[in-house]
Amino acid sequence: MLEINGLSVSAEDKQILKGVDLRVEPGKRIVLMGPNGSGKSTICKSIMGDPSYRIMGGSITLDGEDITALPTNEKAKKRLFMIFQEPEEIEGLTASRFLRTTYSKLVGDMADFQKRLESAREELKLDKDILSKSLNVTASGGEKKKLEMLQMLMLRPKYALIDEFDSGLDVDSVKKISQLINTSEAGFLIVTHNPAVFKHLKIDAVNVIRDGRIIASGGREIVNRIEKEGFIWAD
Amino acid sequence: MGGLEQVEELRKVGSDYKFGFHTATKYKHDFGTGISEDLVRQISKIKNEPEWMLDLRLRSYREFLNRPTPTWGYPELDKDMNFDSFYYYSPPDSALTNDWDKVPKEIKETYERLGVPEAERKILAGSLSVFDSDSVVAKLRKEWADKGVIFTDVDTALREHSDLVKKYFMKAVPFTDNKFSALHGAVWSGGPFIYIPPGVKIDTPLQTYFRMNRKEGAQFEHTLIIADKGSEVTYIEGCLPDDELISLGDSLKQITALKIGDNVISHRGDRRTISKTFVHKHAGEMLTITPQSPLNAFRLTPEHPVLCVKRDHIRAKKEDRNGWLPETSTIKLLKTDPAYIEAGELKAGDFLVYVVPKDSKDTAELTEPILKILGLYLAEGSASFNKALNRRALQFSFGKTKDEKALAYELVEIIRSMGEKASVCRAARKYYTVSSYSKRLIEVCMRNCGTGAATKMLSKEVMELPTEKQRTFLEYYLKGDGNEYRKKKNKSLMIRASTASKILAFQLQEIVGRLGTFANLQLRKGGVDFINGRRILRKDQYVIEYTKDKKWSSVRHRDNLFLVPIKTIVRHKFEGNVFNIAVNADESYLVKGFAVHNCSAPVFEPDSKAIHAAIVEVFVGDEAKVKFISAENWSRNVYNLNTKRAIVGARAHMEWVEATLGSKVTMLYPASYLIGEGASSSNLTVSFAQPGTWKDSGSKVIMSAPNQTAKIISKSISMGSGSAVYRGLLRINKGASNARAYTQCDSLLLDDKAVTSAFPHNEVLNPTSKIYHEATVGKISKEKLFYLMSRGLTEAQARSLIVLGFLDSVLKAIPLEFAVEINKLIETEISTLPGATG
Repeated sequence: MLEINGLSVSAEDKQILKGVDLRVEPGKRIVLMGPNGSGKSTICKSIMGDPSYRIMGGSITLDGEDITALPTNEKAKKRLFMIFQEPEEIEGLTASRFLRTTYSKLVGDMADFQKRLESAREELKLDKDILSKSLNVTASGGEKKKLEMLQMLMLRPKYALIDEFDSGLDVDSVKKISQLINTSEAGFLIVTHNPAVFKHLKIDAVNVIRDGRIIASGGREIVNRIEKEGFIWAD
Repeated sequence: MGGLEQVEELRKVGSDYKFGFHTATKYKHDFGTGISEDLVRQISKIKNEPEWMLDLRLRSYREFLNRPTPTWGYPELDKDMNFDSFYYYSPPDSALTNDWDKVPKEIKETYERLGVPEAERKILAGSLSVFDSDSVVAKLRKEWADKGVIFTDVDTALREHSDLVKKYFMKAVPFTDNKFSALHGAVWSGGPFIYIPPGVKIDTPLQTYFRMNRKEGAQFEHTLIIADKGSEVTYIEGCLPDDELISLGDSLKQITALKIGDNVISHRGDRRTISKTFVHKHAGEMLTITPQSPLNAFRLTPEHPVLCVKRDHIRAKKEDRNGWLPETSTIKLLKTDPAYIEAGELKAGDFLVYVVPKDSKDTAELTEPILKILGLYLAEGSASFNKALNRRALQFSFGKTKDEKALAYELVEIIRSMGEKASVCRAARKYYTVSSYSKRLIEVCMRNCGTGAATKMLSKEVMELPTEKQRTFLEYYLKGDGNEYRKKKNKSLMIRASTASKILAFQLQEIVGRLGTFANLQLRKGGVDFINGRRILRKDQYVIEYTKDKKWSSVRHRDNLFLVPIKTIVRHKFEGNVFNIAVNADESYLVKGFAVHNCSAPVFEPDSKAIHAAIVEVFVGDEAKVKFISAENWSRNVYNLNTKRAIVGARAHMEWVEATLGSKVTMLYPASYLIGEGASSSNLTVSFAQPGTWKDSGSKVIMSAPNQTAKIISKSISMGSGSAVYRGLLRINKGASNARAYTQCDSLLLDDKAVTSAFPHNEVLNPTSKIYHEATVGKISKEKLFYLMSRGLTEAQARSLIVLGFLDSVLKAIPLEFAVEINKLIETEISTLPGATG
């Protein structure tokens, strides 16, 4: 289980998270919603260890092990994965070389690499050309997201943090990716501000965040309510 | 940091670095330091030059005296240039030859270390080596010689093709060009001469290697390339570093090549950082201490403390036997803590301490199947270029026995199990050869084991693997190269393997040590053998030997230490430089595995400088194409001040690819003068300003006839106190109607201390021309690092990937060997950045 207990985080001396508790079990899809600036992206990034954020209090444990202070790459090795809202562009580093490198670091045995790559690429209907281009450089918003998904499918993490997975994707792609998430064995923490994305997604729990605190938790009914009333109701 | 502070920083760093291995070479003539008219005349006389050349030298010399040192570029140049301190002419004691076997041994050794003959045999149409002042070996494949191609050194060309030399020599770069071209004109020596007849297109590159051996040396080689009408040639100039092959060796870097910040292993087996390096003159006694394992012999001054256990302290209560060393008590030996004793106090029979490094780090990529392949590659494999297929190939050669056959087939299975392709074939019904074209395997093998029988070495990653994985690796290496036999004396089962790579032998000794056994190393001298009437030249072989079922009776094992008895100590007279380093924390380091103290306070050697003022002249005839590739990585005391210029005819194309690393100061601006209609040029330069270095580089293109095009791409990286400056000139003259030029100038800063600046200068005198200019300055953002680290990369690995991506277009344009070299170098440099992990 991925467990976040009393997590307080600040960036540039401004406190963003004020004691957040969250639990993600393998095979469960936990949703985190909230208005812009509520701190939802911060949760993903600070779990993963973004150096822009300082953890002031609380802890992050992964299957019972405290990983709060672990370097980001070590967290990744413990099969924690994050889908970035805006994946970085790296000039000159081809997507395929990047995939190879990261696969060799996180999976090690390259025997299935090509097989997994091909099947994930087909699944996502991702153009083959993109693999020989610089990582994310000429890719559209949708392609970037698909490349992130591709990595997730190949690396098979135990827990995945998804920061706004729908941005830039067309309706069909959102549906496809939702299905992939529904059938995955990983535990998911899915961050979004858009209730519409849950049309195809199976959800196990919903948390609402505002001003760095979880202010409501429950089931799908919360999504319906946000869809109708916006985030105001939670005040 | 401002310009001046930068310079101050540079001074400090410069005085701390010590560079490269230095081979004790006999020089033919020794003129001492400094330049004079007499020296200029003498050089000309020794070379037996025609009158016009002497005249040119003398006019150049006068120009040199009258010209001021440039005030632009590196700001401290004038101050740093003490022209009296250089050795201007030091030809090695060997005439130009085309037979590698005839080259003197020490020069050969130097080049072997640089991998030169290997490369020459494998990929090149021809190659020439320059050692300090004169050229040593020139080789050209017969097929090209038959077509009229000339590839020799300029001195020889002056005798044999004097008309050509007279017509072109210093016509693209006149001696009046700048102070260093004038200096060059006065004292130039050696360098390649290439002539390609009309219409001849050479499809494999010609190559030269340069090496500067003398500490306060100076190298003024002259490159003259004449590509006649419609011909084509690619020329590679490789200025490899002195320490290139040694830099990655975990335990075997030359002490002269070590620098501050490098890691060494202390007597505890921990990784420690070097805080200072020293060199001082020593005249007096020198000791050669040879332990039981003869190849581990090392030299020391008598006052240098060595970690040891004295035999006298651990004697057993037994009577001495005449002529035998006193017997020792194993219990006492293992209980006694080793102590530092001055080397002069040591006696044969005392125990030295061989330390096994404690570092252990798993690399997921190195899986069991990969380690098996690496083991076999190390023993039987080679990476080569298949010309017919235009692909790189990996080949493993096995013998003709049943066991070898089984091994060959096992290897194919292993490769296939990884999803890569491999095949086995049997040449001449004898040997089994396994081939694979898998890019990934080639890359993994080259990265982890290197290439070339005499230069193979293991990567840091392999050296640090957990013992279980190292056992697999060793097992497969021995399957290929090892053999077992029973020792007659005590019936123990011995394992023996031999390799032509000295560094590898020491690395294997370390691995066997990690696995708990001390291995002996010895040298089996190479030489000429006659087998079935054929003359065979055998290379030196390094033999590693250890017992499988019993530890060496006289070596004791304790924690990560082995106590190894000294066999002999030889005292001899020595005069020359001795080296030492200061190490943080444990105050000790290992010499060939044996612990010595880091001694205190030898004398600092004053800053030594070397100058490289070469000239490259390229004449590209109408419709001809020349590609000039240069990868320079000089020692960090070198002032690299070259003038490179091409004159490009109608519809001809000139391409410069320049990678400059190392050196203290580089000022380099390859130039293309486009004189014919429709001529074109391309400049791709990359410079890497490592800490304490100043890279002032750029491109110069002069366009002066209609319909010409030019492309200039410059990339620079700076880190630490390194400074990268782009200085470019693009001039479109009145006559250059419809000219098109594109310039791009990108810089990457690796940390907050690094500095970059750009001075692009465009002069456009023709209104019909078009110029496109782009420039970027980038930093490695923490967002990018975070992203890559979230995919399992360490910070250092993430940085390297970003840097290599930045350099991608350049790395693709240069030969693979250089790309691998640059790759390694960047990874090594980046791992020294503060805050870098892994």
